[in-house]
Amino acid sequence: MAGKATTAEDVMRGVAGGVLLGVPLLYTQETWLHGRSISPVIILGGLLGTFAINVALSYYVGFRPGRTHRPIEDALVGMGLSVLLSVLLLLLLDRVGQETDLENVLGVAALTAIPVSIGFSIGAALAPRSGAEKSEEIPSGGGDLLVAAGGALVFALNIAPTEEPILLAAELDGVRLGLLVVASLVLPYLMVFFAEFGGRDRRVASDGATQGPLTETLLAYAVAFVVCAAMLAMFGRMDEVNGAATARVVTLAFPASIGAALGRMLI
Amino acid sequence: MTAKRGSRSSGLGRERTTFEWVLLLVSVAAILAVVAGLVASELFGRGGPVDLRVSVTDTGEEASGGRTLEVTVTNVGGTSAENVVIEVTVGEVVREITLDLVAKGDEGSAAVVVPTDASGTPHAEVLSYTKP
Repeated sequence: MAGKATTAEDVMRGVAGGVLLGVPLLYTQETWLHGRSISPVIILGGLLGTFAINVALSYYVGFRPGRTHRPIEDALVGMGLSVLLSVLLLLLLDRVGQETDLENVLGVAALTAIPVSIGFSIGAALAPRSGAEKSEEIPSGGGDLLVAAGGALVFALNIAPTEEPILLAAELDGVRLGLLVVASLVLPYLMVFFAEFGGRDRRVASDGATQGPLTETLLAYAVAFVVCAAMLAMFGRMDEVNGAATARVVTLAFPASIGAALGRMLI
Repeated sequence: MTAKRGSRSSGLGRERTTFEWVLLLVSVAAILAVVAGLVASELFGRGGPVDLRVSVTDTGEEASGGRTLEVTVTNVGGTSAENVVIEVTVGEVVREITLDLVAKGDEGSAAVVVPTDASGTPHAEVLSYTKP
């Protein structure tokens, strides 16, 4: 196993881990603020310390199944791709842009890349090899959606009561909100059906009422969307249905869809 | 993607595939870019204290029950400023706004609303800020 070449599925497993650990930090104002105000030396120190941790994690866990025998190279790949992934997510959420000073872009991206890279390095450990074994016991496709709702609830409940989804929704334009919907569909699809987590083949082959990969992805997003709307309403952030409220739900549905994917991977 | 197998199980003796080389090169390039950028920021970045420049523009538009003035604060100093309090004056009318953060090299903006009949040239100045 350890002698196998790295594949796109391996990388996607790392990306999935990075997204799972990085998205909550991305939805935190303090990350946006501190990335712009902390000294570059301190951020460099953080990156160096994280690299050492990533080397150890890559040795014992890694983003490939089984123990990797190129821990330094895997840690480099994990950190490098985490930097790129962080920049992409920050651009998607409009936290950095053309008008942002390069020094501040580097600070925020480097700070965000720290948890993302840790997630990348433990990608292989995020879903058990026995994943999806229980899925055959779930009656009809509705069970998958229930699991997706649970994952979405757990993951987004940390974010729903905070100011961040309100702030982000107010600042994101229509194009970015549209891209966020696309990312909320594509990333979970890749995590559940492309990244080679345990049980992937069973999930792809499963033929329950809602379990075709594309249908399941769309339905899981719809479930995450409804869960987010309910949470925002519960916290008094959705008094009426209008464009602003929809933007809030779309913004919160991104981390929720990641949680829904995690829920489906674990069962 | 067909990897040649070298040593028995370590994978160290196996030649890298094209995909692995691309991954490694892209990753190292990304890390070097960030590290070089942060080092350059530390060595050659603008230093010194907070230096805030404020400008105020009368949009001439009537909204929110008055006239809207746009206030832009640019930090040309070498240190970020938090909780920046700005006072905007139009004749006898005084408004105060607070920006959470104006990072070094960045700018922040806000709007104040003054009565439509407020006369005089808009003027804005920084009252206070805190260091992060």
